[in-house]
Amino acid sequence: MSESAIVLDKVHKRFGNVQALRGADLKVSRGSIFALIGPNGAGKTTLFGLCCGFLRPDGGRVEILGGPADVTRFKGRLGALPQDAVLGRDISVREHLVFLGRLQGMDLALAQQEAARVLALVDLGELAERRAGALSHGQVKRVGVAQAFLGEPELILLDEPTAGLDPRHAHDLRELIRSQRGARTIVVSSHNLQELEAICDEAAFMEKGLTIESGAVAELTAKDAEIHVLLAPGPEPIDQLRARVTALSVTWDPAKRTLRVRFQPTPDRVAEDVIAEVLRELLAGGARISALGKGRSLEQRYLEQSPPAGA
Amino acid sequence: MLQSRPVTGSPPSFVRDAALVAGFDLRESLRTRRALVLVLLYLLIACAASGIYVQVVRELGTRIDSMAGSDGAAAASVMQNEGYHAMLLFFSGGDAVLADHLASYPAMVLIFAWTSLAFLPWFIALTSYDQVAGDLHQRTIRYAALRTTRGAYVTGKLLGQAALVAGVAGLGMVPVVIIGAIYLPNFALVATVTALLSTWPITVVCALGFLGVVSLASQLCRGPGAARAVSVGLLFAVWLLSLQSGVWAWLAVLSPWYWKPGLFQPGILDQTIAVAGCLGLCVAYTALGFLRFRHRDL
Repeated sequence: MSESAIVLDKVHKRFGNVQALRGADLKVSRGSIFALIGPNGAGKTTLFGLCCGFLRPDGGRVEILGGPADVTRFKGRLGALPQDAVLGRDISVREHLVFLGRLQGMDLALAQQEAARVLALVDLGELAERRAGALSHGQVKRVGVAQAFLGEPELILLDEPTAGLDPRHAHDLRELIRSQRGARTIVVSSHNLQELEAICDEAAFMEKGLTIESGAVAELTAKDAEIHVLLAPGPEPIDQLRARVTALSVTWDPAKRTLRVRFQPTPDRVAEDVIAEVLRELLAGGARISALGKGRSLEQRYLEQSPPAGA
Repeated sequence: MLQSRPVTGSPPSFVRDAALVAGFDLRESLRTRRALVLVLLYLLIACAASGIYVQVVRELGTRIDSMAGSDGAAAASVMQNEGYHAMLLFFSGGDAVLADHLASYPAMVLIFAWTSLAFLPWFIALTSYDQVAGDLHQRTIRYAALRTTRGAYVTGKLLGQAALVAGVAGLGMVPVVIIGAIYLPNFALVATVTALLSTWPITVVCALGFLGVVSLASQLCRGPGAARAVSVGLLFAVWLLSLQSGVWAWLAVLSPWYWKPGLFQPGILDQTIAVAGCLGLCVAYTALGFLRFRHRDL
């Protein structure tokens, strides 16, 4: 069995004059929670569509769960929240879910049981009999998420799942996704990078139809290889620190009063050891510490990668 | 770990999926204005055809009564029969054998069946055009496309619409019976109901041929507006095909209108050929649309 749930190799996709993907590569490990990050128009939704078999690639290779993106192969094994897909207005939420469950191969009793289970996951049990056309935008989004979890598929693709949700339900959905770690592979796209950083193990940055970087979130944010210290106004013993810790790369931004220390982690010297070393020298030099953190946020990392708008 | 929940029940299959899609589509149609519009249009035609027939019978009766003497009444009756036979010849396209066979149907049933079949293609174009295009436009199809093949989906949609048309065609018979029973003296209830039931499968088979054309249009278009226009346009084109003669006469077999009279033929062989023609066109036009649909982006 392939170790990767998704493999994209130099995938191209064009819509008329618009080149949506220009040779995108992607590898998503089985069991991971994977973030797909990029600005509007980067190709995230196109990539989801190709993985689900909604779209046909113009070139390159798309491999899903060890084979081509063909519904006869992944029926019941792949769930997805497609962006902007509309449910039939005059059919109840429960009927929709039972129908989709049965189409997935379940018998009626199991489909009804599954419909109730997934509605409970998104806190919509009370609205099961309501017509889809009478739901609010956020409720429709939650039904979309619920159908993606029908039958507990191995791989779930969620295209902007928290967009339009109130803070409480967005939080609950994040917790739901987090709880699936190791049990199934989930790929999430979102513009909320704090949210992605909190729930994802791996991430890929997309820009203009290309995957520009991907890897473990901890690596991308250098959580284990960088610390930053915010100093309050007062002494700035930066030179003293540089002289004492020559093995570390120290950068000082006087405007933001931020000290950034990069290092190569080893079994004998992990981030916590470096923090202790740096703090000891700073405090000895009379510095006043306002804040301390490991690595950079995913947002900072993304902004470093991504050219400014209009560039 | 990393295993989807095993499914139970019957094994997934094309037929099962198509039946599920058909059932869901039918249920959805019944809850929307689509079914209501089709029912109202069909009932309107049934009432109009029955009403006109009742008026004609009353008028003829009045004229016969007004003619003095048994010779006059007999002459009027002969004229009435000749007029009816001319009408049957018109219905049958000049086929005398078919016209004689049609004479065995109660006249009211025949007029209803012929009128409803004349309007049916256009009703279908107006109510089934978005069977696939509507779901493409709203992207509703994506929920199903994750779980079943495009072939099963299109087949299910077609069968759902066929079931809807079959139901509405059956419902349209009710006003014929009611109007006949109320307004016609000597109304033959059993004969009329039996004849109506015998025309019902003819209507459904004929509808399948037209549904195939509309399915083709619906698979070619992404927007419902375009699908409606293309449906009507394609139906008009296949109607023109049915009128071909001379060198191009063979093109008529591509039109459901060409096979329609054969469905009323007395001989089993003729009926079977006509049924095969309508079903073949349904499959062929749907498959033609599928050649495009199977490769298109959803």
